[in-house]
Amino acid sequence: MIYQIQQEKIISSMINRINQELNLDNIDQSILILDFSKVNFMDSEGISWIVDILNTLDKKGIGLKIINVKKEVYKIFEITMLDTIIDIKLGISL
Amino acid sequence: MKKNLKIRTKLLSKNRTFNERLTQLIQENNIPIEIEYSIELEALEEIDIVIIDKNYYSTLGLSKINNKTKYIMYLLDQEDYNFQFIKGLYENKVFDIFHSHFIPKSLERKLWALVKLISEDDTDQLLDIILDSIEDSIAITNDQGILEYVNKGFLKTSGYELNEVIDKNPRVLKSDGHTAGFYKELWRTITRGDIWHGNFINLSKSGNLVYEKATVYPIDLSSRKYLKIGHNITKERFLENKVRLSMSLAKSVLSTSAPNAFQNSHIKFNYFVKYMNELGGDFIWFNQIGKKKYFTALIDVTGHDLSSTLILMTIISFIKEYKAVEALGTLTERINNYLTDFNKKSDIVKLISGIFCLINLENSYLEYINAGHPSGLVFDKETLKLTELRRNTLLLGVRDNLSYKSIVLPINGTFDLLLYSDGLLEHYIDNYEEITPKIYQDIFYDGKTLKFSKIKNELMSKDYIEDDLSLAHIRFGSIGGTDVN
Repeated sequence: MIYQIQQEKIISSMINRINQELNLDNIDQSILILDFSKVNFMDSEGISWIVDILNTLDKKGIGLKIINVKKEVYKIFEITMLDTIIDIKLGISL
Repeated sequence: MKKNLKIRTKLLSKNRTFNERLTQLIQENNIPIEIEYSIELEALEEIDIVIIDKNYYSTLGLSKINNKTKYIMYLLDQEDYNFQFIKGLYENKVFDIFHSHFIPKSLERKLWALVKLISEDDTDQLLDIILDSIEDSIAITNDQGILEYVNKGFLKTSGYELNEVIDKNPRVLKSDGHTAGFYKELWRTITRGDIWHGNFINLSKSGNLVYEKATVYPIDLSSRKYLKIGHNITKERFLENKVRLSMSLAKSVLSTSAPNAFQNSHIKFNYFVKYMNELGGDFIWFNQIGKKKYFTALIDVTGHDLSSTLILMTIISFIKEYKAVEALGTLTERINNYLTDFNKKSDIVKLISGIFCLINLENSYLEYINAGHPSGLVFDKETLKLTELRRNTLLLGVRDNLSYKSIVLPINGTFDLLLYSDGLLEHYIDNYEEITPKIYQDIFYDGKTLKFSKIKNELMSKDYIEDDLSLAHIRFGSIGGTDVN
């Protein structure tokens, strides 16, 4: 299943809304692909949110992949080294 | 709810118990029904609802009534509940029937349904019903500030009855929570035709404070009116105050854990932390753990709320207990296992990025672990040659049972070690995809002079920041004991 994040910023105030739209309970496929092509910014709460999703999917045996990540956001995955445990593909740049 | 909203009802009954129960029901539930008790059949054209007790009027009598009034309700006794009888009632345009020993909730619903049906013929009354179904408090005053309309939400929030507020000045709701200037400014805004937004602190009839987030609109009809829509935020405000109190306490506890600046002949430590909301997720630590051994760390917990601070306080206890005999990897592993365990059991996820450094001037080396944090910087004081303490492990709290290995760098000379939060870096650089040593140098140095005080003064005086900003500076010399001043 491919889901495109509609928000440009993944910050604490947006996370509830993204979760409602994404609705992890309804995913019954073997992999969730998050399309980050619209995302320009992600703060530390955004990182926590990604890890929360990763843990939730892990329990269900569902894989996580993130695609079309802009360079500025990709840098955050690199620094935190989340790119070592999540399949993250660099994509469009600003 | 306007004073003049009344449904005219005639009750053709001498059943005293029923009459009293019905009156009580209407009054208790503010049903806009005006009841006239009578057994006369005059002037039925002016009546909206006629309630008939079968003990006075049999089904035959209905023919005298059913063309003159809008709705008929019929009062029965238990023994009347047979199919033919009830069929006869409905054929004679009886709108509804009910038992003389009625169930209040059921009758209330029936009466409200009738009120709505009758009101829908009247736009004003329909609007009234719509506004009454809104939980927010709505009021309209005239240009003298006298209340001409309030909805049910207003009455519920204030605790007053309709006749206690209509045609009155809303000053009855005033608490001591505002200055006279507050109301003057409100009136100044709306009388010049502008919309006013703000929070009221009102007093309910029972004497409780009611916090209301409100907007007041000037409306120009034949004369100026003012419409106030207020949302009750008392519960939120109460919780906010509780959280603020807890945060104040946590901040006070956190401040007791902060290290002091330190200086001797071979090492100097200074730092600052500017919290985004006075209670952040950044923490810097420094202490001497051997004759010429020092431990320093900068950690950044995700989030900026009370939960981040509580996690931080637990981690600080781990850091404070760190002893020179223990490997840096063991400390990092312990923090990671604690956090991953917390994240498994909790509804929220808390992660930590950070740098943990051991500066051993006895054996001339610096040992570090960088867990998913921007590079620590080591500048040679003489040449400003930069060595980056790059990330070498995943941020903490994601995966348990990882092993952590430190990286060791030799020390030969005098160096500036700079540890900072990502917020500080983002403050100076919009896009930090590729940061060259020259960019780092320009941020932290004027020529060969470190700008620590300048950066501190600039950032600490900022009114608004988007993330915690923290910087630690440790200047240390070679084993010979270089003067660090």
